[in-house]
Amino acid sequence: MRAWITRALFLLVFLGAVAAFHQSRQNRPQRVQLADENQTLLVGNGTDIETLDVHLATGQPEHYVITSMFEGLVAPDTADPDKDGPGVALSWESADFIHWTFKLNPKAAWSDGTALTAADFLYSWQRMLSPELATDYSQMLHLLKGAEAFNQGKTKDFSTVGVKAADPHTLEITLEGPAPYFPGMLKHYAWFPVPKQAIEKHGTMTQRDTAWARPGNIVCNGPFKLKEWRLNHFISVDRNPHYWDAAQVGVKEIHFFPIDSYETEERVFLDGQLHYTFTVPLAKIPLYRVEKPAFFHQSLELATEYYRCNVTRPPMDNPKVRHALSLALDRSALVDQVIRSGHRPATGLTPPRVHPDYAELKRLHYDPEEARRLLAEAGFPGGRGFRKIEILTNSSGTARTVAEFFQESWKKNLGIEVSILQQEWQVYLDSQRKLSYDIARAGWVGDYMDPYTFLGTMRSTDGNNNTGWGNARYDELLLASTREKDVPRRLQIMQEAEGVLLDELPVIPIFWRMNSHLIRPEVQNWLPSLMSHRCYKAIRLGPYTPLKTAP
Amino acid sequence: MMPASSSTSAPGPWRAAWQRLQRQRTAMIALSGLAFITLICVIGSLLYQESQSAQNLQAVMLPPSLDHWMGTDNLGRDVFQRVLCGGGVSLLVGIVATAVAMGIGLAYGLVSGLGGGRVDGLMMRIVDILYGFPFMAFVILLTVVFERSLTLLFVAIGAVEWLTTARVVRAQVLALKNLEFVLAARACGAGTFHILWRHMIPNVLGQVIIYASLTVPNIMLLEAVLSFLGLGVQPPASSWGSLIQEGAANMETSPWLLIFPGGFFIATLLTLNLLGDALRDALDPKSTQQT
Amino acid sequence: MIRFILQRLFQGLIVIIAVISLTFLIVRLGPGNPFAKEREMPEYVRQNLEKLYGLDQPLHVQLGRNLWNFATLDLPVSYRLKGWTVGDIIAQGFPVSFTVGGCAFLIAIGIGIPAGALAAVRAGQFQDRATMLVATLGICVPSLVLGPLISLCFGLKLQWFNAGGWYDADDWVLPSVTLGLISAAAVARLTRGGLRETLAADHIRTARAKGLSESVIIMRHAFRLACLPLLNYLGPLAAGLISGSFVTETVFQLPGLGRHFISSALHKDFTLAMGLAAFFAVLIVGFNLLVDILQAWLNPRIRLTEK
Repeated sequence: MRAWITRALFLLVFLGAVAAFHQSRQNRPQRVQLADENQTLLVGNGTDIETLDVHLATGQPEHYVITSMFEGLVAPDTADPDKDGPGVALSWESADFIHWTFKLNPKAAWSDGTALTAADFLYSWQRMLSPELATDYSQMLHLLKGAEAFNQGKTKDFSTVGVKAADPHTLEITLEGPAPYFPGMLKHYAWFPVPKQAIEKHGTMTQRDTAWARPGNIVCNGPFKLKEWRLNHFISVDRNPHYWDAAQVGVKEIHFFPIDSYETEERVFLDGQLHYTFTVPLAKIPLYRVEKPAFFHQSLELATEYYRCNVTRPPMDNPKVRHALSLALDRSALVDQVIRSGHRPATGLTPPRVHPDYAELKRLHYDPEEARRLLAEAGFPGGRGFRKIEILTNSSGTARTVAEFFQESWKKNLGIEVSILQQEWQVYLDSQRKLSYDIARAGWVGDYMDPYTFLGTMRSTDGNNNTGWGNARYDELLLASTREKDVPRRLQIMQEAEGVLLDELPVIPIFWRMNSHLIRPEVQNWLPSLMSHRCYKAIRLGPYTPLKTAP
Repeated sequence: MMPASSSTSAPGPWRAAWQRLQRQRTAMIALSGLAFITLICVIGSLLYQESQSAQNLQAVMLPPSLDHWMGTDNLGRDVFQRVLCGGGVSLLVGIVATAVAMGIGLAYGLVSGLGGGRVDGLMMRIVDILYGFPFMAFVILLTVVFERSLTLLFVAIGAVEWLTTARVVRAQVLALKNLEFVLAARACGAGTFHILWRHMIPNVLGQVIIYASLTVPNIMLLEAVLSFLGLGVQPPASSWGSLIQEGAANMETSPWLLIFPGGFFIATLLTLNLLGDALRDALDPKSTQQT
Repeated sequence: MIRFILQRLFQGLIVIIAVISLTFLIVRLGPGNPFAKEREMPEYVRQNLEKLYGLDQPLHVQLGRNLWNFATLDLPVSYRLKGWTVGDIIAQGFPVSFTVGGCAFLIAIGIGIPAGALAAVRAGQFQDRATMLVATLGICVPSLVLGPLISLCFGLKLQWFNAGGWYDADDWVLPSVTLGLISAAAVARLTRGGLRETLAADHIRTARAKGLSESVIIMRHAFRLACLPLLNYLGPLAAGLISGSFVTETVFQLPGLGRHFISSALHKDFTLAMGLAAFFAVLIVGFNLLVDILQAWLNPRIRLTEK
C-alpha cells in the first residue's frame, strides 16, 4: 500500500513538473517576434550558396543574396521589380537599341566609401570576360560588341570590346545588334560591378578561389553589406551606409537561411522562425490552395519545364514520333491532378507574359487518337517495333513523379515501353551535354523579359541546345531577330521561329512554372516577380502579427 | 537447414536447437510473422508486378477504403500493391546483401582460422585496418557517383558488413581446430576440404545465422537512408525505404502513405530482431542452463 | 603497451591514406563533371577550368598532389564552396556535429546501460520483456520517420523547443534525443546480453556464494566484464555520432558535417569529399584506439593475448 502511495506521489510530482515546463516553454517569444522588433527580415533561401563572388556564382540562392549586396547599372523598380529602375545608373538612352549611353549616379559608392565610377564597370566586365577566370555566365555578355572574341582569347585587347568610359560618370556601350531588352538584362548579376580594390588585395584579377568574397574582406555596392556567413547555417547582411539610396532602405538586417528540405522549411516557418519561405512542399500546396490562409502566395515564374529529345538517336529523329509523344501527354491532368501546385500546362516553349506583345502559340494539346495515328505513320502501329526508350531525370521527387506519369501515359496511349533513369545532378547534366540519353527532363528560367531568352537556347550553335537538333530556317529567323530594330516586326520574326520549333518539336514543353511561398503578414511591399527579382530596399516590416491557424 | 541433413557428424545440435526454439513463444510468433510477411510480399510481387504502377488520376490521394485497402498515392496507384511489391524488393536487397556479406565473411574467417600463423596474423591485420574505414560514407559515395542499380547496392553493402562475420568465424574455427573430433578426423587422414565441409562449416554456421538475422534489418535500414537521399531503387519500382520516404513527406496530409509501409517495415525488422535474439539463445550451447 | 599503440597508429595512417585515395578514385572515375552547370559552358571555358585545377594531368599525378597537400596539412580549397578550404568547412561544421553527437552519445549510454542492466537482472520477468520490446522496436524505427515526428510533436505542436534551427543550447535537445534514442536501444540490448553472460560466469557465482549483495556483485564484478563487448560497439558508435548524421541534420536544419559530406558527393566536390572522408577515418581510428586502451585497462588478460 505504501509503495503505491509513493508511486502515486512520484507520478504527481512528475506530471506537475511537465505541466510547469510546458507552460514556461509555450510562452517563449517567437524568433520572428524578436526579429520584428529589431527590423530583421528572416528569409528561407533553398540550398546553401556556393560563393559570393559575383562572377563565379550561378544559382538562384546566390542570386537572392547577391542582389541584396550588389547592384548593377539598372535595378528592379520599387513599384514593380520586373520594371527597370535606377541602379548605379541614374538614366540611360539609346536611339537604335545598339548604342547605349548610361549616366552614372555621382553618389554611387562602394561599401568601403570609395566612389564607384565607369572604370569599375570596365574592370568588372573585363574580369567577367577573361578566359583565365572561366566564368559560367560569360556568355551573357556576348551581347557586347567584340566580347565573344575577347572571351575566347582571340584578342588580349579589352579596348576591342564595345564599352567605353566617356568620363567617370558616363558609360558608352555598343552591342552586336539591337536589343530593346538590354536594360532589363543588366539586372542579372553577371553584369554587376565588382570591387577592384578588394579583389586585388587578395589575389589577381583572374584568380579563382581567392578569399576576397569572404566575410571581412568583401566590399559591395548594394543596399546591404555582408555581416556574417556561416556555411550551411545562415548569411546575414546589414545596411550599407554608403549606398546611394540608403534613405530608402527599410529593414535593418536580412538573414538568409539555407534550408534544403522543403518539409523542414515549412515546419520552421510555422514555428515562427522565418518571414518568407523559398518554396512550399509539394504535398502541402493543394491544402494551402483550398484553405487559402492569408500567408500563402503564388506567382508565375518566367520558366518552362520541358523534355528534351535526343534527335540523333532513332526513333526520336522522326518528328512524327516526337509529335506522337507530345500528343499522348495530358498536361492538364498532370498539372491539376498529380502535381497540383498551380503550374500552367505549356502550349509552347515561351511562357506567357514574357513580353506584353508576344502572344503565346497555342499549339500543344492532348489527343491520344492523333498520337496513335502519327506513331503508326512513323512506322510503329500500336507501338510495335518501337524500341524501349529511357527517360533521364535528376533525382528530385517532382521530377520522379512527372517521369512516372509520362512512363504510364506513353505506355497506355501509345503502347511503348519506357524506363526511367535517375541520375545525380552533376552526372545528369553531363549526360545531357554528351547526348547520352533518349529523352531528358530539363527546365529553363528566363534571364530577361524577351522571348529570345528561351528561343535562343535552341539555335543549332547554342551550348544549351543539347538535343542535336538544328534547323537552318530557325537559326536564320533568330539571327534576323537580333538585327531587327522594329519591335513589333522583331516579335513577329521570333513567333515565326517558335512556329518552326513547334513543328519540329525537338523539345516537348510540359508546363510553365508557378512559384509558391509562405509570407508572414508583417512583411510589406514584397512584390511578386516573373523574373524572381526582389527590390530589397522597398521591403518594410510591420508590427508582429501572429499567424492565423495553419491548415 | 541443408547442412544439418548433409552432415552426419552433427545432427544433434541442430535438432536440439530447433526444439529449444520451438519452446520460445516470442520466437515462434516472430517466425510465423516473418514467414507471413515474406509470403504475402512474394505473392504480391508476383501478382501485382504490372498493376502496381497503373495510374488512375480519378483516384489520387484517397484514404484507405474497400477498393484500396491502404489508400492511393499522388498518381492514383494502389498503396497496398506497392507496399507488397516494395516489400519484395526490400527483402530481396536485405537477404542478398546479407548473403554476400556472410559469404565473404565466412570464407575469409575460415581461411584465416585454418591458415593460422602468419596468414592469420596478416589477414586479421587487414580486417583491423578495414575497421577504420568510414564505410557508410563509401556506400553513399558509390551510389551517388555510379549509376544506381540493385547489384551495386548489394556489392557495396556486402563489402561493408562482412568484417564482423569474419572475426566471429575465425574465433570459432580457432576454438574448434584443436577439439578432439577434428583432431581425430585429421588423424584418420581426412583432407582439409573434408574437415572444412564436414566439421567446420556446420559448427560455425550457427553463429553466422545469428549474425545474419541481425544484419538483414541493418541493411534494410541502410536502404531506407539511401532512399531518403533519393538514391534508392529506380522508378516505377519501389521499396519500403522509398515508400517511407514519400510517406514522411506527406505525413500530415496523407498519413496512410507513411503508416502502411512504415508499419510493414517496422514489423519485419522487429520480427527479424526477435528471431535473431531467440536463435542466439537456442543455438548457444551454454543457454541450456538458463531459462 | 606503447608498442601496441604505435602499431595501431601506423595502421591508422594506412587507413587514412587509403581512404583519401579511394575517395579520390571513386569520385574522379565516376561519370559526371564537377563543373557541369544547368547552363552550358563553352568548351574553352571548360578546358581553362580543368587546367586551372590540374584536372588535365594524369590521374596518379593528381592523386599524388592531393595526398601531398593533405600530408602537409595544406588543405585544398573546396571545388564547390569557392574560397573556403576543407579546413575552414570542418572547423565550422564539426563543433555542431560534435555537440549533437556528444549529447546523443550521453543519452544513448545514459538510457541504454541502465535499461539493459535492469533487463538483465530481471531476466525473464515483465521488466525485461517490456524493456527489450521497446528497445527492439527502437532500433527498427528509421530516423527519417522519428526525426520529423519528434520535430512535429515537441516543436510545432507542444512548442517546447524550436522545430528546427541552430540558435542556442535549447536546439541541442531534439536532434540529440532523436539520434540518442535510436542508439540507446542498441546499447540496451548489448548491455543486457553482456551482463547476462557474465552473471552466469563462475567468479560471479563464487561471489554470490560468498554472500555479497546482488548490487555489489553487479556493480563491482559483473559490470566490468560486461563492458567489454559493449565497448567494442561504443567506440564506432561515438565516432559515427559525432561525425554527423545527414538525416537528422536535414530534418532539424543543423549546419553539421553530414550535410556537407552528402552535398560534396552529390556535386562531385572531391576535395571536400576526400577531406571529410579522411576526417571521419581519423575519428574512427582514434576511437578504436581509445577502446583498445580502455579494454586493456579493464581486462588485463587481453594484454597477455595481444603478444
